[in-house]
Amino acid sequence: MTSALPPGFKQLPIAVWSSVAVIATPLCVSILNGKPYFMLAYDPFISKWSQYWRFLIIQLQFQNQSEIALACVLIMMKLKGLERVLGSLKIFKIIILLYIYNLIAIFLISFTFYKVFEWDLFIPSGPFGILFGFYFAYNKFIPNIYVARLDFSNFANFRPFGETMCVDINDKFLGYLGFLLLLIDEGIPSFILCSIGYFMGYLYFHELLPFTDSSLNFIDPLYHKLTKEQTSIPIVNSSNVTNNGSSLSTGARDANTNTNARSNPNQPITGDVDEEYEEDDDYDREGGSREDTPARTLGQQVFDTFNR
Amino acid sequence: MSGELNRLNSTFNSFFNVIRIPNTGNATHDEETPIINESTNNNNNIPEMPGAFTFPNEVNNDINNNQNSTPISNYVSKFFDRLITIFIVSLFLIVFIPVYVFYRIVLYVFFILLSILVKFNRHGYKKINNKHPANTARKFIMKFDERIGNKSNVYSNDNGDMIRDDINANSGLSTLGSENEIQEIGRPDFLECAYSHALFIVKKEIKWLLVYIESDQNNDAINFTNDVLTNKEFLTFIKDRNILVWGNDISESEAYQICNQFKITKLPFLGLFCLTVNQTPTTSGMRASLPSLSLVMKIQGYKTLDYTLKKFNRAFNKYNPALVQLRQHYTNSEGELSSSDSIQRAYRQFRQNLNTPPVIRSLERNNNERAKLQWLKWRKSRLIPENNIDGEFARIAIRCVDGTRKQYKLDKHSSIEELYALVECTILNNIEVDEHEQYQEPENYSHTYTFDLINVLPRVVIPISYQESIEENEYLYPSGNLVISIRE
Repeated sequence: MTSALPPGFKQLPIAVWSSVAVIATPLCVSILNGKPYFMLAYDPFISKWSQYWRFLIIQLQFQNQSEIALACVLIMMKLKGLERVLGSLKIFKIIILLYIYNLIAIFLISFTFYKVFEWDLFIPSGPFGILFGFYFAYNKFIPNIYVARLDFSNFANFRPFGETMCVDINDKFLGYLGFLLLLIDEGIPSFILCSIGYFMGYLYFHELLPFTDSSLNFIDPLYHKLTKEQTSIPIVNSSNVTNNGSSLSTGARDANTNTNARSNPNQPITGDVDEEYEEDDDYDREGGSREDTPARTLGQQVFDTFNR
Repeated sequence: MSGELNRLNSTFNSFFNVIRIPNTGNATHDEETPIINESTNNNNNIPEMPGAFTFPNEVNNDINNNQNSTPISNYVSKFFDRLITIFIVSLFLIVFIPVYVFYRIVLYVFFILLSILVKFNRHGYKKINNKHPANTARKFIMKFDERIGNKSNVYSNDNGDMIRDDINANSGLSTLGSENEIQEIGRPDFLECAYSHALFIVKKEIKWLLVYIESDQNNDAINFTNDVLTNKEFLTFIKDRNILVWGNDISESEAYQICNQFKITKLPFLGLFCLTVNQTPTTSGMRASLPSLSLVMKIQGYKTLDYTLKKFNRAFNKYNPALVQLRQHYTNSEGELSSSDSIQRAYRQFRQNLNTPPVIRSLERNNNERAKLQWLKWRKSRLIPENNIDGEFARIAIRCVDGTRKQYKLDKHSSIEELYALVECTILNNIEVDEHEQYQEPENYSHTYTFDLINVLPRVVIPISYQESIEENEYLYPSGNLVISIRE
């Protein structure tokens, strides 16, 4: 068994959209020369020019390449597992809600810092708060698979607080490292934004905020409609190809599968398979192992233990 | 080899000469230095370029030149040699010592941080280790029961340990009234063990295994449970086909790893496992591989009951013939083994009993068996009937040796021995008694119970007692969950 998430984005539409958005939005903004619109500090944008719309768009895109890369890695490697746990629709609603809550929090923090401490806080552009809101959920809902204990007892001759000098590192270590880099990426402003996001995540997942995902039930029909349309398109296409037998290769494949089915009773019989059952037959074509404990080489075992 | 050493030696000497020459030139012969360089370049036709080496003949020339120089210049050159050496050593110390000091500071800071971390996170490792897979499976069952409306007096604390609600159990106030009102809702009989143990059972007994993984954060799980898992049609399907069921939540590491292994991207997940044999055509006919436990069907996300059953049926019909063949083959081979074992056992018994007269042996055996049968009939006729009066009974569930589960409502005032007698007479020995007949207790016969009743959580053996009533035992009243364990 493995701690690595399944490769790809099969049945994870929100993870796909998020990854695409994180890359595509800065690209479009950059092409359209719109980067200056994503700068925000209370003075002068709000206090002098009253450009409140900047709060609305500040979380839409990262300005720096490193932040884009980090966010993509975190979504693709770690946070997509949350979509499996929470469900696509729920995570979509949570993104919307965290966006709104972070927006309010950013406004309040910016206003307070400027008025009370006379500190014109520069707000870095990007969904720092949303990502760190999900960081809380990642810690809460994704279990630890293994823990590696690093024992420094023999190495350390300086023990200020005790005898044991052991550090436990689990399989989420790389994820933590990614979040840490994001946390310190823009210095103190990003640290403040990430802390706010984490706090919002804490409040949200402890149901301490007034509106939760159930408040956005009105978008359910729209979401279902959209996702149904998307899933039906490839099935219709594949069935058309199979039924019409328009290409020679399709006919040859059918003939082969029928031959195999006759010779081997355990082979999947594709002739009478409904369209609905196609997803399971994909499993074989992808080369996925159906066995409960597939054989792993020593190298794979070491890799699984230490690198994932 | 010696040539190479000479070359290195000369290179090293030339390096020092190159350093020294400009210095001596600057100090004594400012005009001579370019002349020497120029002459050497002219003699050897080597272009003057940075990093060019001087060759041995050049060094000889230099030595000759030095020999021609005055004693004052020799003294000055030695002085500069020493100065350069001191300078290089000082440079090394200036660079090395700060680096070393910095390294030590970093090391100390690291250990201070480490100590603080260890201080605050002392129990992190133990906490993870304490999560026993069987315990998490029980926790899942408990949560599942709570969700569908079945009540349990076992709950888990923050550390994930299973704890009984003793306050309610002892007071008997809140639980009894509500418990009687709640009808037990049918659900799959989940195995209370680790996933690997479930696989082991399935492999050993050549059965079907249904794995169910959900997320309590996902609304689909609630709908799927209500529409499919607790549906009578689905439960009948599982029961009729004798399919074992194992379930867990994805927040547990075992379930999480299963999802990753089988590339599950949407929950809830239902997977059907069975032993399969892969047949590959060869020139000498079909070659069958060794049987391996495989996932033959999977359902991801919410699906309707019809869809689920249709898929199950299809997979079952496809793979069950091969499984039946395997089971048959296994039973035959096991039968052969057991028959040879029984022959050996009988032979040993025969050898042991050679000294005892056969007539006495058979009489003893028959008398004992007759007395036992008489005792069982007598005891069953004296069993206290089930009590259905509210607040007067203990609801006790007993898992039998064959895996089936039976529930009884026993009078709370009856002794614990009554419970043992019930198990002995009705579950282990299905004794039939005539209601109108009066049975007598056999004389000179003392019955010994050859099994234990064990409470599931925490795992405690319920001792046989004629004095202690069921009500007095915290594990039996108001409800108990027991397992029969046959003594070896």
